[in-house]
Amino acid sequence: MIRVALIGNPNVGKSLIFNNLTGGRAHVGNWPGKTVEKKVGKCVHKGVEMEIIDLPGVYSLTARSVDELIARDFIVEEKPDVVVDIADASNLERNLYLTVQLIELEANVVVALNKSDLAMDMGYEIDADELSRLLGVPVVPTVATTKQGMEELKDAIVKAARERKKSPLKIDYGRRAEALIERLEELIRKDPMLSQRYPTRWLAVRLLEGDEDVLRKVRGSAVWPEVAEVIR
Amino acid sequence: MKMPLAMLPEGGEAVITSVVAGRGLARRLYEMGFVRGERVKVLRAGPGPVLVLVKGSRVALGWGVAMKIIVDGGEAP
Repeated sequence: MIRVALIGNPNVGKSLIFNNLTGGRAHVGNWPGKTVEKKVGKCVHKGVEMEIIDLPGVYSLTARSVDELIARDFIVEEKPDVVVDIADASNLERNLYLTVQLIELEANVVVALNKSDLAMDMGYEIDADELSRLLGVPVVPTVATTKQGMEELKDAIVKAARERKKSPLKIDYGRRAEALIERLEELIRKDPMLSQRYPTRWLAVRLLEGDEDVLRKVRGSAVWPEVAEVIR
Repeated sequence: MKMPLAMLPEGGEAVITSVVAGRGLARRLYEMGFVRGERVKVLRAGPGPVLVLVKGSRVALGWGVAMKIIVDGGEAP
């Protein structure tokens, strides 16, 4: 069984895609200790069983709100086989921010380019193949309301779970930041408790940003005094 | 003419020149699309919350937050 997490900005049609994939049958509960709904459903595609987990709708993966923290913790700690990032094709720029954050987190991303019909009505022509090449992850155009692209999406999920490729996309933060990132990564690699659990580059970038949740994770490490020296 | 976004009249359009805020708020605003060079339109002016169109989405900002976003509205009307 492969575990598939659904994520996306609010209002991109995530629930509709969840229902399309699971046939609307879901186990509804709460995330442990949080008053945020957790929906889990099942889907069988060409003999492959999938567990679909609906993550909260978020604009980014900073650990500022409970929703964002749940989404991020799930991806970092539980490491689902595939993360389907549902992006609104009619408002792509805003949506790609989350996509890039997921890629930085080294999640096994498949992008569902939803509301493709609306984007077309608005006169946008999106080259899904080129977008896929630039991001280094599969991109599937979908229209959740008419179930268009659902079979292709399921195919892409199964394929991604088998191959488990890492996107080669690397955001260049400029010479000065990159030098600091490199030093932080070296330190992080010295502590297997950190380097085995989290992508080292992601951790380094978040440390530089002063991400409270990440700082808390690193403060307990033996390399913290040296890390603190770098990010001071 | 440069001014805070909060001072833009209803229906007014402008380009963001800077965001004068602490790290946390600045980051939040960047994520919502309030970045330098971005065009914004005021759909509903204050006093009180300001409704702004940015990157194709409507965002309501508190008056105080809208004061921290500096825009260039071009020629004074």
